[in-house]
Amino acid sequence: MDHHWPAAGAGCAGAGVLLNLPVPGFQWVMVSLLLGTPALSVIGTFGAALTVGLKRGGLLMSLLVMPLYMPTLIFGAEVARRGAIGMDIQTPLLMLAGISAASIALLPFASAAVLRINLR
Amino acid sequence: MSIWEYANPKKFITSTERVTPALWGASALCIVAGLIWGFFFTGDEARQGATVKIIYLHVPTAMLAINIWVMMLATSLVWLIRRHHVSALAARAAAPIGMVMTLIALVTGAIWGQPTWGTWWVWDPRLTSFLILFLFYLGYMALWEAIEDADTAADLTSFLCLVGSVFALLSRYAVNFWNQGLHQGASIMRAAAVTGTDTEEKVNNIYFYPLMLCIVGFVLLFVALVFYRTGTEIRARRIKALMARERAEA
Repeated sequence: MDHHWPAAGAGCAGAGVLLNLPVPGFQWVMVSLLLGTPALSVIGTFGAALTVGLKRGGLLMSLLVMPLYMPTLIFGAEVARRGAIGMDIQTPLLMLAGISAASIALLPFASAAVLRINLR
Repeated sequence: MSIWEYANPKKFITSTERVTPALWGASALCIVAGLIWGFFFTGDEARQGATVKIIYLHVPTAMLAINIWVMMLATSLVWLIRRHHVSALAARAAAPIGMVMTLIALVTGAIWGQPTWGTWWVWDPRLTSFLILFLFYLGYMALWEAIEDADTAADLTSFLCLVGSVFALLSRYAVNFWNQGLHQGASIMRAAAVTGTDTEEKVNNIYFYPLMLCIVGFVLLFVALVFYRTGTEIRARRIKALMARERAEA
């Protein structure tokens, strides 16, 4: 997680800054990426912990993780969409931040428990 | 006499086998009676015509699709807390049933949506969350199959069910927020509808009674299927243990 997020999540957002795309509401895409990608990374760790004992766990992991990603993606996309057309973005932004905060706070315990089971 | 007595596999099998035939019979009776009543003895709806009759399959399966996941959550918790194998196997046995119910609800919904909304599929909150639920069932079953050790598989799938439930609830809220959608709200058991003050929104009694019969039938069918499949899972595990012992002796 601590190596993965700077590489993937922040990298995505950083690449956006460098490209500086001239799209309206572009800054909201950045904000939603910054706020949302930590949740995606932590959910990914949970999926990886579930499938760590398997020989070909990659495909299974994407199947397990895809529905878990859904709320984060929906709120993230909603922040970007509303930002782009100048609508109020407070609620989806707060929900996105809330999902990230709760995932970072709680999911590591689930991942740890799952890893402990796998190490048994 | 407590409910935990039935956590004993032998006791579970003997007692469920006694009631399962009655459950099969009652569910078949309810579904057949409900469907015949619904299809042939209720009139066509004023605006939807005969298409309204798919409600007798769509609503019971959609209700079960959600509630089976809740049942799996409960049995997963029982497994994690009290370590009763029957509980874990019941969750495993229920998952494919839940997946099929979700699929039936999605397909009948599409068939119903085509003439009434003019489209098979829209990214509507309820439709989208059902698709997500379908993926949850799929992932859950795949994880069960992927892991060799039975106890590890039970533990990991239980955790997936727990975490998945939280995210399934979140998705339900998220898609609601994202899009108002075409699908109407629940209009069968609304309090106002039951007391009769909300005449506009309520499902007419003509449709309500056969629908209730179908719902009862499908719930009984689910219970019978879970009992049957859990018994099968218990026996399959016993066979596996016996074969392992035989190999060890040989």
